[in-house]
Amino acid sequence: MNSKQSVEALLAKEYRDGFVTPIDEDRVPPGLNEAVIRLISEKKGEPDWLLAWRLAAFRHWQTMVEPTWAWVHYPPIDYQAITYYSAPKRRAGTRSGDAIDPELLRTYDKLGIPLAEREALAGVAVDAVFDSVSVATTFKDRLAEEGILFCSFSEAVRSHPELVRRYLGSVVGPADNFFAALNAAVFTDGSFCYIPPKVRCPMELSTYFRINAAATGQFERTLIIADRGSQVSYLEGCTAPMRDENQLHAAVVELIAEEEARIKYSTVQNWYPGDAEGKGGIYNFVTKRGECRGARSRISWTQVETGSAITWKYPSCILRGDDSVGEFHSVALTHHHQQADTGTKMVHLGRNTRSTILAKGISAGRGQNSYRGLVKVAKGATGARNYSQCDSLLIGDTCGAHTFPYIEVKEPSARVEHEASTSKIGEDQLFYCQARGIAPEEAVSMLVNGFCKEVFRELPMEFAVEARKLLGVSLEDAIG
Amino acid sequence: MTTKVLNPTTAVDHYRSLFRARATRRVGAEPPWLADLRAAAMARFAATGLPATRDERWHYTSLAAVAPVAFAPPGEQCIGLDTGDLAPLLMAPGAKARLCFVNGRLAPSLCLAPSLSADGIGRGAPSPRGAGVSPTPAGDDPTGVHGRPCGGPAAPPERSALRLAGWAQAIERWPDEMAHHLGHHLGADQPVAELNMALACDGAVLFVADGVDAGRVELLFLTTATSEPLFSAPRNLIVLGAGSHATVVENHVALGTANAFADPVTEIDLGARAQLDYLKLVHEPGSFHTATVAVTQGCDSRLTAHLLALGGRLARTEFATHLAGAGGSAQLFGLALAGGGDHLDLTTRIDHDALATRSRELVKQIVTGRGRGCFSGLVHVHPGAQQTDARLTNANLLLSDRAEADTRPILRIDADDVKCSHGATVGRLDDEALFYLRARGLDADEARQILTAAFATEVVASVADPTVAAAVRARVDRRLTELLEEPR
Repeated sequence: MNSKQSVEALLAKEYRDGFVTPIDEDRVPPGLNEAVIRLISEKKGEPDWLLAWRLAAFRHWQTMVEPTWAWVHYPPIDYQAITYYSAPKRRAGTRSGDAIDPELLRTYDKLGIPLAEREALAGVAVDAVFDSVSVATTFKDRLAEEGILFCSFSEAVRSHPELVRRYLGSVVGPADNFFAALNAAVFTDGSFCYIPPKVRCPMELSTYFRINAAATGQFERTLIIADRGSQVSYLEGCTAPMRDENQLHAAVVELIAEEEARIKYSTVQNWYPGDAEGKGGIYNFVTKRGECRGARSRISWTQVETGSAITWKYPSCILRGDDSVGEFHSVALTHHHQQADTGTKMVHLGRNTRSTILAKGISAGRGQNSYRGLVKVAKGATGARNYSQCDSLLIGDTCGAHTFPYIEVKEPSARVEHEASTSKIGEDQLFYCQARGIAPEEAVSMLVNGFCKEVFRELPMEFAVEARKLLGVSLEDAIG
Repeated sequence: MTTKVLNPTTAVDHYRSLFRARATRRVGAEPPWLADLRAAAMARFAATGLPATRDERWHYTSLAAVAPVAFAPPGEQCIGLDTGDLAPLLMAPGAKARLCFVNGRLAPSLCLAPSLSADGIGRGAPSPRGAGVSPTPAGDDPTGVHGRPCGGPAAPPERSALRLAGWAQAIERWPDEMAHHLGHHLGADQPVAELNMALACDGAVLFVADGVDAGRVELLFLTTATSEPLFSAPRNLIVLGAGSHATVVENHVALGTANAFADPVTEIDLGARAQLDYLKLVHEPGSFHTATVAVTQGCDSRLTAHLLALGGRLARTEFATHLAGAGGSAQLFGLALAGGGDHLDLTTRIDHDALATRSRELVKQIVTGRGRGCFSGLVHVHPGAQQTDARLTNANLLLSDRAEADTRPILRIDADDVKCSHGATVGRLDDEALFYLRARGLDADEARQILTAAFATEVVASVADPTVAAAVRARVDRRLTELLEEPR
C-alpha cells in the first residue's frame, strides 16, 4: 500500500454528525421583510427597543452590498428563500422550563453533548442552540451561586434587559458589515454570559450549535461580558446534517473584557462541509470580535476550523485598555471543495498593548485556504507589539493556500513583525517515517498534528482531543 | 498657479475630451491598428473611471485629489535646458544612449545617440511629424522593413544590434513589432494603464537584438514647473532578444515643485536567457505619479529591478513581472523615502507561471514627517508552477509621530512543490544601536543619520552597475539628509 492510498484510507470516514433529527418545527415562512422581523421579535416577546434596534439594522442592511473581497466563490445567495426562524415544537403538555424533549436529548447525546448534568463532561456547562432557539442550558444553578449569569440570549433579554441593552452591539455594531447587519436584524437566539467582578468561572462554559431544519439559516448572537478581574473559558461547537443545499450561518459573537479580565474563547467548527464533489455544506459567515476595554485585560481566540463549505470569519481583538493582550490561534483545514477565508484583526489603541497571531492553514484536495489578517496600530498606542506567524501546509497540487496580511502602523514606537511560510507533506517525510516502521496513515496524521501542535496546545483538553480526531477525519482522501 | 476645478464625476469626461481632441489631430498620422487600440483602451477606462480605494490594489492610495483637476498635456513648449543642465539629474552618467523627455515630450536636443545603432535615434534631423518633436529620420529607412510584416520578436529579421527611438518614430518604422508588443504585457483591469494607452503621445522604445550587450541606457523624464496642471502619459517599450543584456534606468524627476499628473507605462519583454537590470526612480515633489511597469520573462531570463521613490505628493508604482518561461528569475528591490506630506505606494506582483522559477524581493520604506509609505507585494504561484522558490521581505522604519507605514505582503499559492515565504516588520530605530553610537561620541542627529542610511544600504548596495550605484547612493543620501532635517 503506498502512502497515497494509506492517506486515502485514513481519510475515508464520513461526516459523523450528518444525521437529521425528526422533530416538529415551528417555522415562519421563508422571506425577509419587516413583517418577518416583527414576527421573530413577537415570538420571543421582546421589548420595543430591541425590535426598533432590529428594524434599524434591517433598514441599513438593505442599503449594503454583499462583500466580494474574500477569496471565496459561491453563487449568489437568495436571502428571500431562507427561513429565518425555525424552532422545535414543544410536545403537548410541556411548558417552558419543563423537561427537554427526549428527541432533542437523544440528538445531543448522539453528538456527544450531555444535556443532563451528570455525564463525563460534568465540568462543562452547555447552552444548546437548536436551529433558531436555545433548548437547554445546564449548570445554571451552580453558576448562579457564583453570581455568574449563563443563559440563552432570549432569557437574558427577559431577565437582564439592562445588561443586554448596555452591551449589545457595543463591539459589533448593527451596521458593522453586511452579515453582521443581517444578523442584527434577524438573530433568533444565542448565549449570554456575564461574569461578575473578581469571579473566576469554576467550569468551562460552552455553546453547542446545531442546525437541523432544512432551508433555514442560523443567526445566533453570543455576548460574553467579563467584568473587572474575572476569568472565563468558553467553548463553541457546531454541526449540521448532510444536505445537498447550502445553508447560511451568520452569527455574531461579542466579547467584552473589563479591567484585568480574561476571556478565552475556543471554537471547534465542524459544520457540514459538503460532499467530495462540493455539493451542499454550510456557508459560515461569522463576525466575532472582542474588546479589551480595561487595562491589563486579555482576550484569546483559539479556533479549529474543519467544517463548512465556506468559512468567512475573522475573530478580532480591539485592544483599548493599556497593557491589554490579544491572542489568535487558528487551525483551518480545507479539503475537497471547501473554501476558507479566515484570520483576525488586532487593533492596537492602548499603550503597551500586545498581540500574537498564529495561523496554520492546511489545504488538501481542491480546497482553497486563505489567511487574511489586519494588524493596525493607532497613533498613541506607544510600545505596541505584534508578532504574527502564518504557516500553510499543502497536500496535493490542486489546492490553494493564500496569505493576505494587512499591516497599518501610525505609531513609531510600535514593533510589528509578520512571517509566513508554505510547505508540503513530502514523499521524503513520509518515507522517513515509514522506514522507521510507522504506518503511512499514522505518519500523515503525525505530520499534520505536529504542524498544528502549537495551536492545539491552546485548546482545553476535551477540545484538543476532539480537534485531533476531526483533522484525521477531514483529511481522508487528501493524499491521492 | 491656476487650477480649473472639475466636478469629480466628470473626470472621465475630461479625459475623454482630451482623447477626442487628440484623435482629431492624429488623423492620418497613426495606423488604424493603433487607433483601434486607443479607442478600446479609452472605452475600458471610461467604463471604470479612475481606480477607487474599493479596488484592493488601490486600498491605500486614493486618487480623489487627482480626479477634480483638469490636467492637460502641454502645448508647444520651448525648452530652456541644455545637456549640461542634466548632469546632476542623471542616474546613468556615461550611458551609451539616452532619451530625454520634457513634460512628456521627447526633447531631441537633450538626447544622446547610441553609437551602436545603425538606425534609430540620432540619424537625420528632427522633423515636425508625430508629436511635433520626434526625431524622425528624413524619410529613409535603412532596414527596409517599413510597412512589411515581420515575424514578431521571437524571430525578428536581421536587425541592427540596438534600436532606440521615440514613440512616433518607432510606430512609423517598426509598426509590426510595436503592434505585437503594445498592451500585451499588461494585465487586465488596470484603469491607469488604459488611460495611458488612450492618451500616450510619446515615450521610449528600445529593441536589443539577440546576444547583444546594449550597455547602459537612460530614459530621463523631466517635469518642469508649469502654470497649468500638466498631464503626461509616457509609453515605453523595452524588448530584449534572446541572450542579450542591458541596463535601463528610467528616471522621473521634477525640477522644483510641479503641479503635474504623470501616468507612465513601461512594458518589458525579456527573451530566453536575456538579462536586464532595470532601475526606476521617481522624485517629483508636489506631483501625482501613477506608473505601471509590466514585464514578461522568457525561459532562464534574469531580471533585476530597483524601484526607488524619493518623493511625490502621490507617487505610485505598480510593478508586475510574469515569469512565463521555465527557469526565469526575478530580483526586486524597493526603496521609498517619504517625508513631508509624501504619499508613496509601491505595489508589486510576481507571477510564477512556469517550472522552476525563482524570485527574491526586498522592499524598505523610511517614513518621516507626515509621510506615508504603502507597500503591497503579491507573489502568485500558478497551478503547475512547481519548484517555485519565492521569498519576499519588507521592512519599514517610522521616524516621526505623524508618519504611517502600511504593508501587505500577499502569497497566493496554487501548486504544492514550492518554497515560499514572506516577512514584514515595522518599527523605529533601535534604541540600543542609537545608544551605542552616542556612547562613542556621536550626537543624536548623526547617530540617527548613520542608522537610517544603514537601513537603506541593503537596497542601494544591490545595484550592480557601479556608475549607477554611485549615482543612486548620492541621490539617496542627499534625500535622506533633507528628510532628517525636516521637523519631526
